[in-house]
Amino acid sequence: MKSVGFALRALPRDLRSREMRVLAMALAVAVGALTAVGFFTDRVDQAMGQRATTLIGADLVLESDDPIPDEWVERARSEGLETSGFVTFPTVVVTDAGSELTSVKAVGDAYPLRGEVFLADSAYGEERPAEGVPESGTAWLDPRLFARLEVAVGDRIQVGERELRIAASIAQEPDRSGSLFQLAPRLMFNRADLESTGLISEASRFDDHLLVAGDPGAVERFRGWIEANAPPGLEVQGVENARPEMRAALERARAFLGLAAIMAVVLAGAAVAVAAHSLAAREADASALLRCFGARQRLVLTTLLLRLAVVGLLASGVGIGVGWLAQNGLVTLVGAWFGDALPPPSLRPVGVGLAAGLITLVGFGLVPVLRIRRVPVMRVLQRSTAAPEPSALAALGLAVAALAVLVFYQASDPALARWILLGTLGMLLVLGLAAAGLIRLVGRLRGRAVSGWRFGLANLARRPRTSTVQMVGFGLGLLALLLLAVVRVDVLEAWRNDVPPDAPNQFMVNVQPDDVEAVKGRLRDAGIEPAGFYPMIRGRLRAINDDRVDPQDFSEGRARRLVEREFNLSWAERHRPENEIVAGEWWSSPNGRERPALSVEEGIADVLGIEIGDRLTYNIAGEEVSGEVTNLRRVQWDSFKVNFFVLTTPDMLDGAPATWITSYYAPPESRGAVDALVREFPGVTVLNVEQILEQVRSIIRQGTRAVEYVFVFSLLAGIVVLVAAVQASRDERRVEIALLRTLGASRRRVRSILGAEFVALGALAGLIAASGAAVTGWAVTDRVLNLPYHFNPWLFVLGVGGGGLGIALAGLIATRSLLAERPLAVLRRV
Amino acid sequence: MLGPSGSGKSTLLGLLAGLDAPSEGDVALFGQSLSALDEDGRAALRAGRVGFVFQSFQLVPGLSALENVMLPLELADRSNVVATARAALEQVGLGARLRHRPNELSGGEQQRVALARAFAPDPQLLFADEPTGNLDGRTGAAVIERLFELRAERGTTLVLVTHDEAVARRCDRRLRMEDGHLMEAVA
Repeated sequence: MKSVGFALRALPRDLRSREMRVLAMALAVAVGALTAVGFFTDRVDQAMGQRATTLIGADLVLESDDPIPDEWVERARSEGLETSGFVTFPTVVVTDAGSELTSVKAVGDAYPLRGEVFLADSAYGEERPAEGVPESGTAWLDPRLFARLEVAVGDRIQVGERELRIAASIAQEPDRSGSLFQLAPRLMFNRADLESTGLISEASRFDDHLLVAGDPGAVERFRGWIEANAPPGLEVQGVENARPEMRAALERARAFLGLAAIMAVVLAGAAVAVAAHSLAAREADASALLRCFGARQRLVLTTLLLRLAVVGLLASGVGIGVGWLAQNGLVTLVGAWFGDALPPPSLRPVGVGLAAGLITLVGFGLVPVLRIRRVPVMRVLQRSTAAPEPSALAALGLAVAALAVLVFYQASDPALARWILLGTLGMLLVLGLAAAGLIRLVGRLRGRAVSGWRFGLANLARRPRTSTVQMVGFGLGLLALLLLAVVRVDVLEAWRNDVPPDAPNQFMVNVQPDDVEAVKGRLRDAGIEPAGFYPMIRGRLRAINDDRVDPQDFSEGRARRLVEREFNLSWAERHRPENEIVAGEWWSSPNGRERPALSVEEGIADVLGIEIGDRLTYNIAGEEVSGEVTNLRRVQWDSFKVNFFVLTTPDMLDGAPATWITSYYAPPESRGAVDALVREFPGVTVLNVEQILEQVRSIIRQGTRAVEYVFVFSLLAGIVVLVAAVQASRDERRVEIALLRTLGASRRRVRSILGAEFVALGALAGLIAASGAAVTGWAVTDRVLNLPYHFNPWLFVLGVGGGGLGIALAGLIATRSLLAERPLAVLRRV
Repeated sequence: MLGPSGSGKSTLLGLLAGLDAPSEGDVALFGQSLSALDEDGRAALRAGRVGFVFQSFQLVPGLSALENVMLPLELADRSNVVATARAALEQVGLGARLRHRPNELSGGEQQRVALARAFAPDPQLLFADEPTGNLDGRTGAAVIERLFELRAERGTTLVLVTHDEAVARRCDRRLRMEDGHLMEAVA
């Protein structure tokens, strides 16, 4: 307990000490970066959850072939949940201009429970939110129907036996994306009018939907009850897998943000290590004195560790505050993703921030500080006795362990985390070796240099260890700055090109096999190049190996829903390079005639527990076909190209009823041609994904800005490393300067000697950093992003020139106060 | 203890106080053989019973005068730490400078804080390593005066290393160190 008193008493002194300040600054920057990103992603996650509910119009949707029993509605209400519902079915609407197959949605009051319907007063007109549902006797129409039926708002249309007045055009329907591929143009009217249309009878086919929303606990209870009592035809839809393309873009944004934060942490860690090293050196006297007065080693050590912990906690606290403020900046930058209504952050990032601060402190600072134990007590009488240097291996080992914990936590992808870790380690090793080598070389060359330089270079070579540590510190700092200044721009540019301006903005589905060539021709005539036509076959998964698939066997909701539903299958001969094979091999034989094989998307394989070599059996149009899984694919869902969960060899689906699907970029001026095409081939449905595409683009656009913003922390951390490295040799330099002055050197002369040393240090560190930045840039663009790498010669100009000048300036500023000290006073103190 | 620089005075002092272990032979402190103890054992033996005054004062830079004097008292688990420390500082004439930090004190004042720190726990044994080496003649003389006064008041055994023959003459026994060899000095 004595140590607690000592530690607290030391606090005011610690807050003034240079080493502790550098240490605290480094920690605050690291924690600030991590918590800013943490708070922000936490809020985005919450918003995604909320946003997802608007995508299905409720918290939970039940879809049934039979009318929803009143009992279910009662049950939901008894849980205190809001309910609504709608009925969907296809019907043909006829006007003088022609007839159109439409998808009717007869909606009950309160639809939708989550999200909003947006209307326009004319087709593709200005959007406004709808107030309530269509009034009885009116209908809202898909904008495509206005042209095809040659009608306008205010006209009347015949729907079954009922005449309805067109009240508006539907601009956005929140829960539309759920069943993207089966939709004919929407016709929405009030459920109260349903009976009078006479379209629903015992024999007709329709789907009834129950929408439920409210307290999450109540929703879960209701879901449990319904899943226990549900008939087989019932589909329960939650919010778990809405909008894969938007999720993919957000995931990537998060990975980039995490990387930016990690970079700040690595740099801050280096600063902590250097500062802790200087701190231990500075504390050597006090600790020897304490021991001389009879303090046990343990007391001395615990006191210092407690002091570090107190400073660490305070700094982490400041960092969390900074992180919280900074995330507001992030939210401002990307606010448009979610309107302005991003939910407030939870407290979780606070805990993570504190933990990260302590892990950084312990990981990078503990080993240098432990050396305090070994300070010889005789130091009180004989200053020259010093503690042995800490083991570099132990210091590096612990730092790497700490870094691993943080990196694996921050980068959700273990492969990426390994890559970062190895990259950092390799970089440190190369920096260290290069620095040591250069310092040796400088030592040999110094005899040939002129006066000021000779002293400066001699200084470098005289303290190889300190110089190496400093050069690695400078190198890391400069590397960070170069990466930020030059490489970052290239990488973010590559991300921006991820969804190019001509990314597909329309999907065309339901193209009959005989029409494919004709449709292709019409599209080309309109100046549209489709991104490939793919067959689509609907099938239900029946068995994995010899086990019949029963939805009840899967405990996970997503898995259960996947096997309840029909899959869209496709066949392909050749592998599409944008789909990365993550396990197994693509069928090599050109037409796949060897034996039936399957390629499965890795995510779905994981959910359903499918592995390479498993035999899957599908029911397609009443017939069972099966094949062996030979590979798993990673699909880029945000590429807006047609993709399938399951692909087969061409022969496996031979003869199965297929329709074809394509996606393409249709410039605005070709929309008329597409409309004409749809009229010529009435079965074909065109889906516009322009809106989703724009959303993904805006995520990337604002995401790059957000990443640049987080890089400010890395920049700060880089500067702190530089400061720490300059500071590290301050005490030593103090004596040196005093001696030179005593020997008759003018201040000017001393300044030129120091300047020479710092210029050499900075330029050499810059040389190493520029090489490191060039290699990193190549690795990221060429290896990770698969883009051509352009060597940027400015890296070396900036690195060597900027490094030399910058470090000289920083070093001279940092040692200015030392030059002002009276030499006698300094030498007396020794 | 007299002797030229580098003759081994400080090393001997360190060995006597158990700050270092001899490579050969043994030192007994308070009847206890030091070579039987480890570092921590020797530290525990010193706590509160052995005081030090150094040539370079060795005050902890960030701590106030009062806190510096409190340090050995706390390490020896004494009660009334603050009152004892204050009294010790008053005794060396620094009652008005309790809150000052070392860099706000003159050399003489710093060495008086060191004296207060050394005597506050009432040690049985006090080691002083050229206590006036960094002070001018007059200040040094005043400090030596206080040192001998305090020694007389408290009955502490004082082991003093000095270059000053005049100071040495005030001691009961004088030893001379030369090239690592110790001999009785002739007064």
